[in-house]
Amino acid sequence: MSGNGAETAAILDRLSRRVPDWATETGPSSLTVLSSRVRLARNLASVPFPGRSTPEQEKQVVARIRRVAREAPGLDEASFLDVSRLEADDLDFLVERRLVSRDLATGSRVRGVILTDGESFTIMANEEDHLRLQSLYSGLRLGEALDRANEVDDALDARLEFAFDREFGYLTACPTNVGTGMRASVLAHLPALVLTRRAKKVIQGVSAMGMSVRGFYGEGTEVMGNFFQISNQTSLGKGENEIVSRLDEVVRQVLGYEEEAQDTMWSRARLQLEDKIYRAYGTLLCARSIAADEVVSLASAVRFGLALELGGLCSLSTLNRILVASQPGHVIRAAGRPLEQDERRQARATLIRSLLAGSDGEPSGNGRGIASEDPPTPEEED
Amino acid sequence: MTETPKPAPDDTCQDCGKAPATLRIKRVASGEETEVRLCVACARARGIESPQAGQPGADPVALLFKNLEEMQGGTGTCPGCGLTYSAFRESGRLGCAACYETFEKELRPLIRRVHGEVRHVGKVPARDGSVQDAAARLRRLNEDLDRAIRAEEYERAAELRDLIQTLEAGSGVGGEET
Repeated sequence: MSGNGAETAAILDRLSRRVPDWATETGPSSLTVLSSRVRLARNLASVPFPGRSTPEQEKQVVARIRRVAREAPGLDEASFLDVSRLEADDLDFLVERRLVSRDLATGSRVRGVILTDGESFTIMANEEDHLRLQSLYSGLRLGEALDRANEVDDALDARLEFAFDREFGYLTACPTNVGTGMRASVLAHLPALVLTRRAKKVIQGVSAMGMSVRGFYGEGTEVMGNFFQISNQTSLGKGENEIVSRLDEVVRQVLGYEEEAQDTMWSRARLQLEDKIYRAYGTLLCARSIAADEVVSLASAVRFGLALELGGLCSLSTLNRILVASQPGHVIRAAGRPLEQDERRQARATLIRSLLAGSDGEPSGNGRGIASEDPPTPEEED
Repeated sequence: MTETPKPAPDDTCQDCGKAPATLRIKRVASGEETEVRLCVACARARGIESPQAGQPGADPVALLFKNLEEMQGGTGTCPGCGLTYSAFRESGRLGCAACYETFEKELRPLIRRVHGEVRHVGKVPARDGSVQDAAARLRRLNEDLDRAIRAEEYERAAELRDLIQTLEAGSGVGGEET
């Protein structure tokens, strides 16, 4: 793990050439759940939190975390990026990639991120807290994400003294994270609930069950492409396993409502639905210039088509690849130079066409076919 | 507090059997559970002060200042990092682990508002004892409860009592998830 310029460039290049595991793998329910994430906030007991520590202390904290992380299972080969030294475009790229938070990207502290090859595990150093462990998996796999986060947390705990209070639990810079220090979340795709105008009601229900609903990139961000981030609202008073299993339960309920809404739409407005989906796919296939927002919304329609098991569409993995690669920071990174808006839209359209050409003829789902009369069968997993 | 509770209705003092019981303390020691229900007078006779007791005798001016300080959001500076409470109120971020101790009185209601709870249940660092070690945790909580009662922190005592009950009700010894 090194943080010098050449190494940083090499790591960024490597990242931009591949797609993160959470986007390419197809975990349980991955048509409706893009990813499951568990984040643990931890602080060192002996050093002021990042907001109050000196630059010298910040440097030492980052160095210490890097040293200790090497000992954690699966992190011996992990890369380190010195976020303090990155350019704005590279920072955007990392935020889009969900490797760092917007806060870490825009901060002025000595800070960094440790990441594994498949990007399923990251440790942000000196974000709001000294450590932010993130475990990110494709599909609905909260339990696995928690287990992995715990595994790394245990290894770090054996080597670092975390700020902990018998009563308040793990101590964090913001009291909203105190206790378990955990935020578990899923990114759920709920197009039918949005189109049938039931999303608001479902969100209210989810909130009443102690969960938060947010936009694509988490706190304070917009809902894009019918993706909703559902997470636990509170971090204290319940154990990690209980929080995660409750969230899992709530998410499964929401997925049930989404499936119902999909069935309703399919039986009542099948022609309009197919038309909308195939037009969206056609635009992605043929566009010569396209904005990032439009891609997100078209990709949402195609994803809906995949959930309905319509034929003739690209695979889910290609669709996720498009979702990741068409974000502005990614398009710029792929071009290798700064691009004006027009150039960026053109480059994006070209990139999408080439990704779709690569996946031409891939079967989608179980080949349900347009003519089938069966209601869509939900993908049920443990 | 080893007395066997007298068969009194739930809302009357078990010592005098007349006055309403304004204080209920449940304790668990060596696996035995005792609940004590007392009125203010009987509690005082046992050496337990109720939250209201003692206040009339205190200097009203000093009390007023104390309340004002609380309303203004606490006093003092964290010895760990130099953060003042007003700086915390502005940024919403604490400066170090010691802040939780320094501003405990102000933070407790805030944490309760946010989380609905003030007691962590869940993972514990290895050095603080295994999470499975529920018996030890219960022992510690009972010690905390004793301390809270001695310090006349009745609200806290009630919380601790509830937590102890929750942990015990869960499963066997602990009821705490692992």
